[in-house]
Amino acid sequence: MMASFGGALAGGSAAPRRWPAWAIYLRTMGLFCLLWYVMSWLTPNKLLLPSPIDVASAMRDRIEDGELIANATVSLTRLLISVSIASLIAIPLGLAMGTSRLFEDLLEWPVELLRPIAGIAWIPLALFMFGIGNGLPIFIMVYTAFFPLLLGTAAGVRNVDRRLIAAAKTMGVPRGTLMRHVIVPAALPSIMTSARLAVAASWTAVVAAELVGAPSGLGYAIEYYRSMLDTPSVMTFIIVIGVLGFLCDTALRSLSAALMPWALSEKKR
Amino acid sequence: MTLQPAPKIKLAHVRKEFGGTPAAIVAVESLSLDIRPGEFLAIVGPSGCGKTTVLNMLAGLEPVTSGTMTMDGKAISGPGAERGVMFQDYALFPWKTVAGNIGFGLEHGPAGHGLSRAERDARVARVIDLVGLKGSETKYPHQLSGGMRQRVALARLVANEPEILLMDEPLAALDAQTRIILQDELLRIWGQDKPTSERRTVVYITHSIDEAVFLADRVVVLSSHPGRLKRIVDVDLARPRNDETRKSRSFSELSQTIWELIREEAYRATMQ
Ligand SMILES: Nc1ncnc2c1ncn2[C@@H]1O[C@H](COP(=O)(O)OP(=O)(O)O)[C@@H](O)[C@H]1O
Ligand SMILES: [Mg+2]
Repeated sequence: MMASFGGALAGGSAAPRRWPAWAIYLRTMGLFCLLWYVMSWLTPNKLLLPSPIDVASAMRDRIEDGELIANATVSLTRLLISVSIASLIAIPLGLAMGTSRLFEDLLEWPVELLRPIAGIAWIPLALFMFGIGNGLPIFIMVYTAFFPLLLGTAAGVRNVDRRLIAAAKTMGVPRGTLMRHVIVPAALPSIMTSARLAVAASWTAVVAAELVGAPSGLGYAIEYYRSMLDTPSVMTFIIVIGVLGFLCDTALRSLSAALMPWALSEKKR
Repeated sequence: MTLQPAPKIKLAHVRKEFGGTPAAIVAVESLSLDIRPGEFLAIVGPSGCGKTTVLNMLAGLEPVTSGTMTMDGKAISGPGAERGVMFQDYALFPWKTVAGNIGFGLEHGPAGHGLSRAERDARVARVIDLVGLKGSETKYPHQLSGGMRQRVALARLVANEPEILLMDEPLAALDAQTRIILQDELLRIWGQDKPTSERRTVVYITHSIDEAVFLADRVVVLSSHPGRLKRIVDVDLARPRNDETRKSRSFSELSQTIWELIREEAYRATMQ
């Protein structure tokens, strides 16, 4: 009885090993590039779909002439500044909205009216206000990051377990401490999730904003190389945008894990 | 007739409804009760009879619908650090470790006023020892079993050393041995070796009749739907109480009396 049970278990572990995550990733990417290569080979006009090899060599060129690093740095800096500004405004407002009826009533309508308007819809107007430069993309990105942060923070605060607030109150904890040491940490998972949404949305908006309204950045580079009919370089910058967006999210996830060790191990269980 | 000191807490015709009329649930009805200073008062009754509701009102977390509830002659209008609560579902802070949870009131509330960092840490360590959580100081609540969480909640209450301890089924999730050890500890913390004037006041909800009889000076039996006072039973067992008490005849007789009082209530509640 026991022997056959053990045997079944041993048989399970002797089965072919699953691929490690990075190998699966490489395999998928390899397949994708292969497909891409075949597609580009079938496309008569190389301008429409350059082959992966052309793109790889364009990427090397853009690294060597410094264009890639320079534009990526500009866009990432704008992202960092915009999300910081948006956080500094939206998180305190969200905390106020989540805790005070008055603030909720005051903010509800303007937020509901503005939220459905995509950030990029403001680009034409922003062109008049800011002209070409840093102002326009930063305005669009702050706007885009603002709503997820505001609403995520407010929802997080509203959903804080009432019993935890009750427990703190029975220990005589004063109001300010309650906010800082109970409500904010309890709402932190929700705030961090909304920060990830905000960064992702903001990163999408930076490209659109730079396409039109900035003399630098990844979006600008795409537009520039498009006008030069250099599609391999255009593809290079598209890939860079994707990879950097993914890396930003990974960084934020690590930040969440560092800020909330208690929430991380909760998920792992 | 001995002269009773003024009640610490006085409930007069307390009624509590939940929800709006006409579909309101009456959780507690015409409850009048004097809680004496330094007394250990147990409340028993079938589940759903309003025990937690009474405790929440005593804590100041729920307003009474009608009637009055006073402490030292003043109406209870909100929570206060002098009335510490141990919640039935623990209400531990998930982002705090065991030690962080237990020290929360000392760090952020009036319980820690006038204590140095070292004194607070020492008290937290002592209480952790008391409830048998040594070695788990740095764990987070979700890493603990139900029984361990309950001990953290108990330790958090005890660490704050409130004047009045309001406890909602504080030992219910523990195994029999741990429960008996902690019953003894509770009596020590309450001050059963001290004169009444130096004891804390305890309101202790339990569904265990034996536990109520072993711990309490008086046992309040509630009836259900709505929660009303059925009887107050004086427990005149000698103090300090110990294992001998648990084996004594009068102990089992009292338990039997209370059991008979709530049997029909429990039956009624179960059948609903
Ligand atoms: N917040 C609430 N809203 C509505 N009904 C409630 C609420 N809290 C308790 N009740 C009701 O009041 C009654 C007493 O509940 P409770 O005090 O929790 O009982 P016990 O602690 O004795 O088990 C129950 O019928 C319960 O459903
Ligand atoms: Mg209850």
